Amino acid sequence: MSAIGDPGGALLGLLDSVGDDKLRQVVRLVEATGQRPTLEPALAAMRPRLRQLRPPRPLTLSRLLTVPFEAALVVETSAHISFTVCRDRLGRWQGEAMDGLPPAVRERARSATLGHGADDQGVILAAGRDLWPAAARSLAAGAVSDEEPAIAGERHRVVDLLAIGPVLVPLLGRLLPLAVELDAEERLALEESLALAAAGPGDRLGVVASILLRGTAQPWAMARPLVEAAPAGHRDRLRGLVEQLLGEHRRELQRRVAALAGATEVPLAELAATLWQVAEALDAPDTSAADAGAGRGDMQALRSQAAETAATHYSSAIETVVAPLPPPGAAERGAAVRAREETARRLARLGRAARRLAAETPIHRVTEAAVERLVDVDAARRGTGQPLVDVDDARLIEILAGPDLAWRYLRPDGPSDRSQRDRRGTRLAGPG
Amino acid sequence: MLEVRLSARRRTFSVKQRPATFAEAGVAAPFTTPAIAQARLRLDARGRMEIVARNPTGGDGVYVLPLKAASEMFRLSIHDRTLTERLEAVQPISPLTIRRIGLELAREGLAGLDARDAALRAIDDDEQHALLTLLLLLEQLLKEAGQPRIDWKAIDTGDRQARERLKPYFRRLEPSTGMVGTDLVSAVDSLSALLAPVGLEGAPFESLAAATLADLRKLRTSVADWARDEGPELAAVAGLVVECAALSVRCAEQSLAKAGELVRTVGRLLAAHAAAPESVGEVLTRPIWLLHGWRHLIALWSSVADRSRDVQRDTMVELGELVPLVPLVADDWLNKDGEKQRPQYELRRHVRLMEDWRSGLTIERQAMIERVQAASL
Repeated sequence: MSAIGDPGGALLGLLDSVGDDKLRQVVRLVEATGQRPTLEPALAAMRPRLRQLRPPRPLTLSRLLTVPFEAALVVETSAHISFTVCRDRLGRWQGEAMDGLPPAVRERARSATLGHGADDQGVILAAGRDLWPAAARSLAAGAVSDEEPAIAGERHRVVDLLAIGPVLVPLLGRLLPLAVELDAEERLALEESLALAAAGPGDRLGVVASILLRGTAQPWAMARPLVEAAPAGHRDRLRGLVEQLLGEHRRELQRRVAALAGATEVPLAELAATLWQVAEALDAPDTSAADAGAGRGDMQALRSQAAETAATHYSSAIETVVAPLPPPGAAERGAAVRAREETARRLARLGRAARRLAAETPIHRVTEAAVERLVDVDAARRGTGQPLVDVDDARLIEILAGPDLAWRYLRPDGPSDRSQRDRRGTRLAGPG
Repeated sequence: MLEVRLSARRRTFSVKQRPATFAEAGVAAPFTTPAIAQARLRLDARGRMEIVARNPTGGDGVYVLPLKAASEMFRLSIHDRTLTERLEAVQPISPLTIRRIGLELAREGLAGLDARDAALRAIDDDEQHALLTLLLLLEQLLKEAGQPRIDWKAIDTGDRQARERLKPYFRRLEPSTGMVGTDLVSAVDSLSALLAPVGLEGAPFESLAAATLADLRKLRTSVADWARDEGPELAAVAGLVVECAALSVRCAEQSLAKAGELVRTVGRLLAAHAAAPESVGEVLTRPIWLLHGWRHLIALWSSVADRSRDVQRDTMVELGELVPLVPLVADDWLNKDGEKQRPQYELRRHVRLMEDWRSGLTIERQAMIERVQAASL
């Protein structure tokens, strides 16, 4: 695999070109061989897709240590959000914490995690109970007086989250990803989390609010429930923090959309995942209600820009998808059909994101025009009285435009759905 | 994070909800439209086909609707539109006829290329197995009649004319069976069609029933092992799957033995079949009915073998919803006592916003169902 030597470039291209199952296998292999740190840049670029695919990850000691502050991690390029921990410094905090751990605590945690997965909540809570506070003490001891304020602030944040890990992690486990509608049990967990946060020193309330808002697909919709769940004396302070965080989040989304708008080489899966996330975030009934820092205009501008970006990329990508296939019987036909369907599903997701962002988006028109071109090509090869498309193309139309249109092309003379014959008299055979 | 929890709570199924008869349980159909995936087909009081589907809201209970109303209630995939058309012409509805239609549709490519490849292999295997079964039945008949055995060297099971070459052997059996050649060929042919998926002692292939039974035993063990690390809610669902699997295994083993007894003397089987073909067919196909529906669950569980625990939990909930409940009528075969009381838990299902089978945005889910279908053919 020559791509290993160039993790940032060739491997990324390779990973984007493979299907979901293959990508999962690659990640499993990378995890099993301990190559994750080396290949992290390439895998980081695939994060939105990996988050959806949820490949299994072994529960290593480093991973266990990170659990209390994992939800606060952000990559450097999106570090304009307050109360977070930069992913680039993850290794540093892990290393410092690990170095100062009492050997007995470290060994106990290591043996407890052996053979378990990173989503094994019971093992994580049991093994982390001693480890996290010990790691907090170790990390706090490593602080020096002349540390950069940003680093010192981040150290303080990680130390605090590790110290309250045994209480906070089970609460977050019940809450994240934060539901659009909370049930009684979740509301109670949210109140306990915010009470724990409000009782803490320094910026703990902001850190927990940031984790919760980043842990929901619809942060604007969650702003009010979050404030209402805080202890009475802390609601005004939390409201201010939430407004600040939502403002930062909106600007972050604007940056990401702007980057996508101008890009020509973005993998379709990443494009679809990111714009879907934006569409979801903006899906709340009143996305500007809790974001006093931004006017409705800013939100509307973000929505329009995201919709336009999605539509532009969709229009250019669909041309490739409806390009003619190798003829039936050709050796490479099967692989081409499989690859085309995989791409079409990603494209359909992008189209759905565009429609969620703006109802008047031209996705429907673009799709129908592309389908018509596909059918023309197909029909030219066919005699009369036959389906206008073959099954492979009908399936492509189904993915892109839905089964109604696909059915019309596949069965132009067939019975409509509502004129099925009476099936009276059909018999169920069997042993009683 | 792109995931959102929605309120999708439902109580766990109970073995107490077992249908009384196979007719009430119906036959699982290979729908690819996510809302009705693995929905069961059965006849209503007026003999018309109806669908029994999971509650589309994700809540308790099932939806029962006429088959012809399916296209009005759901946006059916092109596969399922063709399936509902073909079902019109099917008589009778049984696991084997539904399997045949599923294979035909898959062969046409309506469930994707993986399913097409799997269907081609399965159809080829089915044909070979039917011919081999016919040969074994014929061989046994010749032996019982004291006639010379088949010259195996002259028979190529891959040859489409193989059945023609067997005619002389059938003619030799006319006196002992009291049947004319064509009737005899037709009777042995229909018996071999019934027996091939069930299996025959000494057959040089693994029958559909035997393969499913072996996979079902593995599923039972795998789910039981998996459940050890789970909390009470999912352990209860897994327990239900294990219990239903165990019951299906026990019933299927017993009915396979019963079918084996019936085949011990082929001459007598032939006479019984000529006198009461439906009764013979019922006994011979019992294992298929008992194991029906499990292949999808086996493929579904195996598709998440290397996925994260969270994905496996979601899949376990789905297994619990789809688990084939052996009809109560089968208890008589095992002299089994009534069911014990057990606690019922409420399950919370974690679903992705706008990607769930209830959202209508189902492309990815349909693709997953097609992959599972390809693995289960």
